[in-house]
Amino acid sequence: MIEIHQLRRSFTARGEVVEALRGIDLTVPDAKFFTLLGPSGCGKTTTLRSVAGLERPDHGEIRIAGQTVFSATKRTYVPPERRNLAMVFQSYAIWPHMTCAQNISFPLDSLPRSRRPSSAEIAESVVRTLEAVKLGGLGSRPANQLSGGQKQRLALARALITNPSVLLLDEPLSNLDAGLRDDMRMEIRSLQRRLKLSVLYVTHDQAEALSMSNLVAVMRNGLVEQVGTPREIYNEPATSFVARFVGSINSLQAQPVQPAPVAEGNTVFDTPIGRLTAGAKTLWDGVGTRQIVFRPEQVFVQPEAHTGNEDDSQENVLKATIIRSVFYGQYLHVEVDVDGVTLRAHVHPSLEFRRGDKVRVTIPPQHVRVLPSDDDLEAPSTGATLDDFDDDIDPELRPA
Amino acid sequence: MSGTIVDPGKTGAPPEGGAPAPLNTGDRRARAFAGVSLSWISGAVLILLLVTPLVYLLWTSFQPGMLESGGATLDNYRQVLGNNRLPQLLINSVVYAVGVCLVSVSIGGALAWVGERTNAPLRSWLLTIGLMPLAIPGVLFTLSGLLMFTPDTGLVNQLASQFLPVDNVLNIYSLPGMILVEGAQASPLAYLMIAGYLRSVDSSLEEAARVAGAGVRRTLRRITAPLGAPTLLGVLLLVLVRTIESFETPALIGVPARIPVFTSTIYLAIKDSPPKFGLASAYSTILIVITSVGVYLYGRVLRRGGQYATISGKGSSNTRLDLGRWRWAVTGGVLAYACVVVVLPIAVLVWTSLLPSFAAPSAEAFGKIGLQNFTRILSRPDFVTAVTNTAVLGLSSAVIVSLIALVLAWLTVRSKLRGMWILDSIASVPLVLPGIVMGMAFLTVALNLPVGLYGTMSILIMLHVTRFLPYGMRTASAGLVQVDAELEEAAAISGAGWLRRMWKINLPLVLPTLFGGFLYSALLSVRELSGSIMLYTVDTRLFSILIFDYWQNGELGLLSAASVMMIVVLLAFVYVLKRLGVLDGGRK
Repeated sequence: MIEIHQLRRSFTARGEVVEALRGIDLTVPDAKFFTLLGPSGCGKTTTLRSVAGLERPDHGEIRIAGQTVFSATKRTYVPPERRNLAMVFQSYAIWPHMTCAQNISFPLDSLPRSRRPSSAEIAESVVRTLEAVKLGGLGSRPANQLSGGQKQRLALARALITNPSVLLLDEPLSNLDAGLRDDMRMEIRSLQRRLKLSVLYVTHDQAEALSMSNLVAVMRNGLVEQVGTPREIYNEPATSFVARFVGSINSLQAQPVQPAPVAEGNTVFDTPIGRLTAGAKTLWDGVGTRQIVFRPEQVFVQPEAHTGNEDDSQENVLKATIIRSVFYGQYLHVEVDVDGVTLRAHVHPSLEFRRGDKVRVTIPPQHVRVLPSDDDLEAPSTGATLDDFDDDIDPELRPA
Repeated sequence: MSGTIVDPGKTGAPPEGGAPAPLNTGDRRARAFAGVSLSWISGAVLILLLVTPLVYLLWTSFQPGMLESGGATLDNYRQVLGNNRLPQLLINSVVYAVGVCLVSVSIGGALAWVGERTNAPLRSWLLTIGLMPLAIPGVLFTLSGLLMFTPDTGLVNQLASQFLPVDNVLNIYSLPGMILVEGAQASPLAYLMIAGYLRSVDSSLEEAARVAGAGVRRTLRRITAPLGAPTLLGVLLLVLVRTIESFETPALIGVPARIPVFTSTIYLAIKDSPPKFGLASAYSTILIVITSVGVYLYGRVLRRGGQYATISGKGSSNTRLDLGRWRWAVTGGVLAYACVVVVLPIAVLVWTSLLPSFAAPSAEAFGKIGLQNFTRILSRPDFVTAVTNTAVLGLSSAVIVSLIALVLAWLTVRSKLRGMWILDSIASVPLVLPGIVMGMAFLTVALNLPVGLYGTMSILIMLHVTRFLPYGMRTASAGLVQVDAELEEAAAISGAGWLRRMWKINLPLVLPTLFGGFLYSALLSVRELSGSIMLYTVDTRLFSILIFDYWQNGELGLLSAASVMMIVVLLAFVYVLKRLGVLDGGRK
């Protein structure tokens, strides 16, 4: 178990103070795969390096397995070599002047004499570990002659040879090509399960985070935005940042209808595209500005003719016009115009639309969420924005 | 779970225990190597090596002479400033320094221009020619100048008087003689800096001015000159400082010619009987002030120069001036220069070493050629002692420099401790200090500390370590910067303490670069004269000092034989260094 309490860290870069961590509270349970997810500069790597002891925070406390390894108030700081951790680095950090076997045996050779196995035992476990990561027979090869994937396996072997209970991984897959990355993802996950490791994993790749983790913490600007299971993070984002970073969303400014015609726990809002019902668990406390969000893949788009003369008063059914449709193979990306507001939808790839087609858009209420408006999501005057997590960097690129 | 290893691939069982091994937070021995204490240790070492001598130097400059008694006094400074020869000393120093600047910048600038901006043939050899004077130690270069240009007896003067209607081509015992000898020695520095500038400045800047309608002259005045001014000013200041610090030429030529400058005055004050330590310290302190001002101005100029973004990385785009018919004439001039400053000095030393007594080339002289000087010198105990001392000094100081430099480089490059640049700056101070002043400072330590350092190899090693630490620092930092910090962090995570990380990870990875620094530092140590000459005694005589002594005693045959052997050894050094440089280029 890793417990992080109120961690703060600031750097001075070119005379300016940058707050990398602004009060991080996290708990990594035993034998769980815990991922820190966030864009670059959010503080995830600083958090990991603080746990490893490679960074020294300014404030806060870190406990590993109940023992305090860092405490600002008690002036405790255990150097990394005495935290009994294992870590895989982004660059793998394979020592180029050693052979594969020397790389792996280094952590055992570094143990104090009283706890160090005999050299025969070390040699034996090196052979076994090399075989376990499918590098059998390469023990005497110079480590810098390995391929990227092999270096990755070697780094993993070196981390695991001391039989650690906590494993730290710093974007270990970002330097691998796509095919190898998928294989290693599964391999690391199954290793974690078999060895009941507590893993703290850092990545900026949402697919990696969702597919591997028991728990995900989404970080932003030195703070934790949300901690939850992959499903919670994806389906019940706590903030629009989380919603946008993990997947893509449509978001609309919203006004509650007064008096609220509440039915079955649903809330009705006036939005720039008409009256919408939000059925998902709401995180809005009833005061302040708010927005409603829903994911493109939860929007249904049907040709007008197909629906016939069904009841127009059905909840969250809107008339729209196709602006653009792009075929992605796994899905069809559709942009539709509803009363001058653009919405995005990901629909089944068997559907086909043309620009100008009249369609009917359905947004199931159980997938519509209400969130407090956040600062970086200042809605344009039309009241609507379209956000994909990868283009939120430049607000000017958004459709006005 | 001590020492047990679970096969991560085979076992499905959880690791025994499940909790990490207990953390031994109270291990004091390990904590002693935390960065903070390390930086304190390094700071202490630096202060011991550098600050102590300077403090003693300053203190001694306020002490009365050996035979007098009393407390602190301003007598020494009064003696320096009230000396009626002070104006002459200042004029000599200024004329000498400015003259050397002009000579070396003219030579270096001309060579650089020919090599970088003309189409003269064989220009690819210019780098080698421009740098060749560096291969000959200053003391040998000056001595070969003396062998050639001593009035009436110098080889060149003798030969010339047979064919020319003048008695002497050059009387080396004069200010012009000193300026020419020292100027030729300083020219590689000027050549390197000016050639580097010409290579980096983009000629399209000049071409843009031409296209914009400016003529050749206007372009030169408005573009080329302002862009080059900081570089040229920087070169002039650096050569000026180097000249003020120079010792060999002022001592070997200036002293017999009665043309004192600061460094030779310090030397004479020590060689006086009784030695005037206080006076020498006062002169040294004043000299430090003068060179510090020079280096400060140089830093200012350098910073100004950095504002112009002239480096384009497209050196090949520079247009070259077509010399037309003059191409071969220019190359001929360059080759003639190479003959005068490199081939001739070595030839003179070789010639002298083969003769039983000094003589100009003649049929009679050719008949006496033999290796008797070499056999004689190899059997002399003072020679054997000097060679042994030099080897011991060079190797041990280079090893110590490399180790201290590695630790300091680690502190400045890797440890995230604040204020580490201060250590870096302190370690760089010796670059500013004239060798003879450093020697003087260490002499005051040896004389005043009741540890019995005077006349030992230890004090010489300390001097050389301090003098050459900046060079070691440069190579060690450059090497460590190239090593990914994650390699060391991975070792820390693997449980390796500071010492083990340095020994097993950093040292092997930095070794190729560090070895280059080691050799360079050893090379400098073997050549060094100006500092060691203040500290040596009969038992701790060094090679360079032996040659200096042979000259004083008129043992020209022995001197030349020793010099030829030294040059061979140094050339081997330079060759290895060059090969290493080539190897480093291909290695990551």
